[in-house]
Amino acid sequence: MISLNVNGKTMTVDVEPDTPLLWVVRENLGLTGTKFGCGIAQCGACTMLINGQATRTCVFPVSAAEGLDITTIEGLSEANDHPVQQAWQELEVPQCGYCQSGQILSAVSLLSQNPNPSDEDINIQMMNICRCGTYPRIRKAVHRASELWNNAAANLETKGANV
Amino acid sequence: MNTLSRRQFLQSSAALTGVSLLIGCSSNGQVIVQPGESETIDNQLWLSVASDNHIQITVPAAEMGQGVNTSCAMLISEELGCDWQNISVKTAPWNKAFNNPTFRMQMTGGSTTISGYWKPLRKVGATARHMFLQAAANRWNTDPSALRIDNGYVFNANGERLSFGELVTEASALDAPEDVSLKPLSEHQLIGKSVPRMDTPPKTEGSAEFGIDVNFDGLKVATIQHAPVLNATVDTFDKQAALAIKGVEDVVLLEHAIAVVADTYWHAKMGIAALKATFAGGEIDLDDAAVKAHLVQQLDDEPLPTIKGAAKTHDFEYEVPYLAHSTLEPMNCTVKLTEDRCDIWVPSQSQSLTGQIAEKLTDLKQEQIHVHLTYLGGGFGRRGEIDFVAETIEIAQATGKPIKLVWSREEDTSNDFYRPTALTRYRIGVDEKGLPIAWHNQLASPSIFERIFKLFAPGFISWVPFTRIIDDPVAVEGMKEVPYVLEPDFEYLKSKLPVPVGFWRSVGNSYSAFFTESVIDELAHLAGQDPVQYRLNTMHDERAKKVLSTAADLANWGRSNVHQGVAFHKSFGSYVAQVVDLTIDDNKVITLHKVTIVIDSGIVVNPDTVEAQMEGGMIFGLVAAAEGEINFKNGENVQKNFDTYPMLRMYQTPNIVVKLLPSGDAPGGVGEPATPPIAPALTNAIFAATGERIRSLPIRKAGYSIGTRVNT
Ligand code: FES
Ligand code: FES
Repeated sequence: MISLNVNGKTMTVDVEPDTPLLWVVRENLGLTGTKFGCGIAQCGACTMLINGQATRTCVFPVSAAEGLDITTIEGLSEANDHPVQQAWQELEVPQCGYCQSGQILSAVSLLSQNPNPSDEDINIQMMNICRCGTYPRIRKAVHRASELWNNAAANLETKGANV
Repeated sequence: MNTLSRRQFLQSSAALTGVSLLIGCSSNGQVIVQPGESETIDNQLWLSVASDNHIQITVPAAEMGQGVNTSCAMLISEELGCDWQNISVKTAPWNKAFNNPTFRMQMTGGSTTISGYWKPLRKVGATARHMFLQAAANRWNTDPSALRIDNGYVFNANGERLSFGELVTEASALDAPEDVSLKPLSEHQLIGKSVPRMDTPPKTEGSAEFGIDVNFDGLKVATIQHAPVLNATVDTFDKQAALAIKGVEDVVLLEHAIAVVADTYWHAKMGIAALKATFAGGEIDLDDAAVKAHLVQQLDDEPLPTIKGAAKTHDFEYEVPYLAHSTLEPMNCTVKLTEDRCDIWVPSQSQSLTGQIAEKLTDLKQEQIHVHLTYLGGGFGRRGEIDFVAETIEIAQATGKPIKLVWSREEDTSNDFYRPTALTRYRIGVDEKGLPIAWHNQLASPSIFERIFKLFAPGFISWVPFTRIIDDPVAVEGMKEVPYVLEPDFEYLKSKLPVPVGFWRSVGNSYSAFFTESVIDELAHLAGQDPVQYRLNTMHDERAKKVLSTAADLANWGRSNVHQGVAFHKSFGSYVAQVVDLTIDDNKVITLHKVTIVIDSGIVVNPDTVEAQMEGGMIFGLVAAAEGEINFKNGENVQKNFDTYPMLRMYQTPNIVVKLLPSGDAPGGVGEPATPPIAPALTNAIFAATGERIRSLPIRKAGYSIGTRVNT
């Protein structure tokens, strides 16, 4: 039995310790917002936050996640209103949408470490694949999210979001 | 739907589904299947307006990122005059009432959702509007012409109002009007305005259900290993080793593949590894050299004619490789099969083809087969195929269990229907001014239609007249007709190669734009003329000229301090010009400064979505031009995953400037037309910067790569 802390809840799963976290979360916990794209840490569709850090979970063994804080897209906000989600909606970022859970969590990870990222910072940190080519909008949305997040910073703390 | 008879409109009231106004319709040219006595019209329902004012719209096409859930709802809503906030949408089931008039089947492709359903959807909305007006007129004892509709209410001259919901019972008791008039363009309030997409919120909170997310009690997960060599078959495998893996339940042998069924994907994948399958036979002699030799031979066998009477004659040869689709969501399908019912949940571009393959593989009839489209994690033409649906049905049949089949990325890349490779030769005669007076062009390339025709013959013939199938219209698009000469002498030579080929975003245009726009650029330079001016001098179509000159102006053509390349291409009824601004360092690393895109797609429904398709469509073509290439060695594709078949990343993506030039014509396509022009705009810019003319894609083969963008 492995005990996981996912979106603020403790859950136990009966899986082999080397099972990638991605598949445990999708198939054993039934949280399917996190996607599978490549399985070799190339695309970022499987991104979750582990202790606040964007992590490609298709190559991350579940045993290594024990005791760490795991946030999936489902746990980012109660009402789809995290500043990054808001910015994504404002700028109409998604096309097919398949990459976007991973893109959003990558942006959350970037902004929580660097509240005012430059274009260069975005270039370095936002390395997930979007096959639909939403990159220009993701870039704008990261800047917009930075504004929203900074404005709402105090407010956000009192709400205790999982970031 | 040019004429709508009363028979083609179905309506009903309380008797069927509670109090709602329900409107269905058949597609043009199809005889509608009237629902039987005991059936509801649910399977043909396009629009329902409930007494609580809730409006449900059935979107006939698949939502794969192009925004059709929203734009289709806009078409109905524009005519109906309802409150946008009250609308919810669902995707159409398999029913020919929802056929796209362009294809006479349910197929989301060819950038035809808006152009195909432009009339039917507005007619549905307009019919309901007329019925609400009549119902209110009856209530107030006045004439409908004295009333107006706004935001879900009918108003009379005294300022009194009735909501649609209040009128539902009376409206649904009326006969549907025979031939409703549609709003003139000048009165459109919604069409032409950027409306937030309905699928955005679920896609930012992870709740949008894709095919890979489908789940229910008892569902088993399968994954698959196909023979790596084309047309090879499974030889040996260790079934017991796979069954010994925890969670693995079945091993299913298919014609060219072997599947493992388990409780989870991960266990199924472990099972595949444990099988240690070996394969035999197949096209082991196939490699890049053999492909090229075949194409060259075809062209050598049909030499281009000698040109007489030209001041000069120029010969050119161009080529492109096979390309994979690489939708980010790998191929998958879920099937639940019982003796008298088959449910299929699938991210597919075609309800019709999905349903038909189920009909063929089971003994069930259409009424017993239920196709549920999920969101598609990318389509690009790949999901118009049904190979993965057929496999899932076969595995469900073999095991007697409900099955979700999920391919690995490696299987997805290796078992694609690739964009065809193509080799072309031109012999062009020019006059003293360097303008083309003779244009001979041959293309050697495999035919997508030939494969499709064999697979789907009956349905396909109804779509494309037989004579056009022999031609293969998609192989020759953008070459048989070119904007610069009125009568090109063009010949298509169908290649016989074993690599399966399919529809890849923009199809034949994906190479024909590269060929035509490179050749015209070469001719301009040979004539010593400016590439934009040369094109404008030889173009015949005014819309084309306007789009090209607008793009040139917007990009500061000729006055830029970086190197520029231009291309124009018309496809799917839309005109697109692109200008690339770049610089290149000594190591052939390209910095993309900007790409300017101008499109005239006729009437624009949702402008922000069109812009998004311009950005995304261009990027789709850019990464293919830069890096895209599927090679074959010993009958096996070399590239398997994103490490060897790379995608463009954020840091490489240029600034993009998009300008829409809507025009009063019918709506054109927008999902594909931005893809074709970027390859030639890029290589023309590389020529401007370096003097090196790239005649074979991708540019990586000539040592070029796309480096970090310039930040603004
Ligand atoms: S699925 Fe994990 S990086 Fe692609
Ligand atoms: S929105 Fe489709 S892959 Fe990013």
